[in-house]
Amino acid sequence: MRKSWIVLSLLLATGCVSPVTWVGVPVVAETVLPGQFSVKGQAGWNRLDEGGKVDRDLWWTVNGAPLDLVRFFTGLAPGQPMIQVKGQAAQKRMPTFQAKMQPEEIVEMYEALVTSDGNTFKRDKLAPCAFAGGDGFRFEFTLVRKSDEVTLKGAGWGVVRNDKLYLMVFQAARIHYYPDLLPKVEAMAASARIGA
Amino acid sequence: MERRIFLRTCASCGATAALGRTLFGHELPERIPRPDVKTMEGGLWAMCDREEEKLRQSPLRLRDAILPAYIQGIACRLGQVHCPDIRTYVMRTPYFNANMAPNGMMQVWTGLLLRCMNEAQVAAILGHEIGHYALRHGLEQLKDAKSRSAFASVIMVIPVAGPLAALGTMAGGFAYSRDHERAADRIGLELMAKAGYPPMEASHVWANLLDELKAEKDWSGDASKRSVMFSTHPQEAEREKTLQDLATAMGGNDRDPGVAPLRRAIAAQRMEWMEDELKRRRFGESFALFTRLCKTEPQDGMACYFLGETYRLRNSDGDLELAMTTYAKAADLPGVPPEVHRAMGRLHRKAGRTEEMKKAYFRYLELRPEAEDAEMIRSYLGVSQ
Repeated sequence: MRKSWIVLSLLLATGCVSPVTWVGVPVVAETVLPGQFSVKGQAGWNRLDEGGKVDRDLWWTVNGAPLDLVRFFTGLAPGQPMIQVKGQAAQKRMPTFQAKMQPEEIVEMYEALVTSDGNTFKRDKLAPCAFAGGDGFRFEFTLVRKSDEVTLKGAGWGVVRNDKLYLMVFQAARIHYYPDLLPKVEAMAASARIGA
Repeated sequence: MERRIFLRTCASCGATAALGRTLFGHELPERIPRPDVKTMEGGLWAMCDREEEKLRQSPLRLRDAILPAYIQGIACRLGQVHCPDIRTYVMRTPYFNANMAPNGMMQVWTGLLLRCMNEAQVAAILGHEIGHYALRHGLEQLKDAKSRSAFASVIMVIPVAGPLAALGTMAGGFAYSRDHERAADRIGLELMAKAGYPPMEASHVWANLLDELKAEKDWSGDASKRSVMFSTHPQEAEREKTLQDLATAMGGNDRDPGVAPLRRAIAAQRMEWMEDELKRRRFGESFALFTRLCKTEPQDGMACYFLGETYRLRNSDGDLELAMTTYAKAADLPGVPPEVHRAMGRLHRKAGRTEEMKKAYFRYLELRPEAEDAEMIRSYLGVSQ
């Protein structure tokens, strides 16, 4: 009994006990996400399940979020931040989406999100690209995560449709995970579409 | 370059020997021998050695040929006999911080270097940290039962944290007393003076930093809650006054503070650090910083461009107009990066001023034909490769 208390206390102290879980993404012809955004199904993906909570920041991974991660921001309306953060001051610092934002400003908004805890972000490429049936953009970046100083590479696709932002961003450890998964994620981005 | 720093260091050591005892009678203790690993101090050093190894491997450590050698040179001029035991590491992170571990490992963050207006201000911080090291404040803290308990509670976190995160954890564990901080301040001033720097610059460092914190909208009047550098240090007003009084008594404040040598040493990375600064999204602090840089050096095109960027990103009422005015002014100054034309092109495009947009974007592409966003910009202009 005493041992189990110790184990439980350690788990709580290290944050290993969490109300969220990872569940497998069913391999179906089309996976529909909030905002009527959908991608073609692929084997091996897991999604973060926050007890049925529907969020506009969805996380998918194959090997675990610290190693590889795809984030979907689907149907972000003008005036909305990419995520809700704790604390009024911190939330105020988080930029909000505006319908007239140019691609570089949308990338800046994502950059602000991922560097708010001290990570180092460098945009490596920004170019026009068709995405989800519209004239969108594609960007690449390098991220050094402050907490463990792992270097990540990333690629993102975005489009603004009917004044709403649809953004899909992939980031993974530069060694092995990024080159290994990029073709799958590219295929996923190519399959993206908006609307019923 | 390294030879020049070595010669300057030797010259400084010679001057130190000639000066003898200082105004306040403090002399740096002798070199600290490596402690036996079986002792408390030896254990502390072993732990710091492990952190140092991680620091060497860190992707955030600056590895260019100029800046690390320049910072090491300043540390050596200040550290005198301790020079061979001091190892400095410049880490790319946009916050104002420096730390010296008991084993002689010193981290200097780029956010601090960006904020220093001259070499003397860098020396003020490094001298303070060397004071902690030479007086073995880390060991004294560890011997204190209360601190030991606090240290033990954080030490378990270090093995899984990156070196920068570990620095914060270790700093929290050591949390020097205010008496230690006062002693380190005083030693730092003396080391500055001995090395030929004007000691008054030390008080300017803290005054500038405090001005930045006060410029934030959510300034609460308590600096300790906003910067790790104020959290364990003496009250900012008291500290500034004490440093001013001591510097006045020491004299030598008409010496060259070394603006040009610092600017030369950081020239290659300065733009990157300014970008990092804006990514913190502390626009009040950034505004205070870039305004200070522009006022001090009105011909500083790069600082002026980033002041414009601060306006653009803050995007309060009227900020975009102010950004455009600032960009336009910066565009005519020396040292301005080509990105100023891209920034103007972006604002013209948003405002629907097509001709002005084209002119600005074409100028940007002319200056940066291989830019990573060139393809995007060309699509705005309706031109192909």
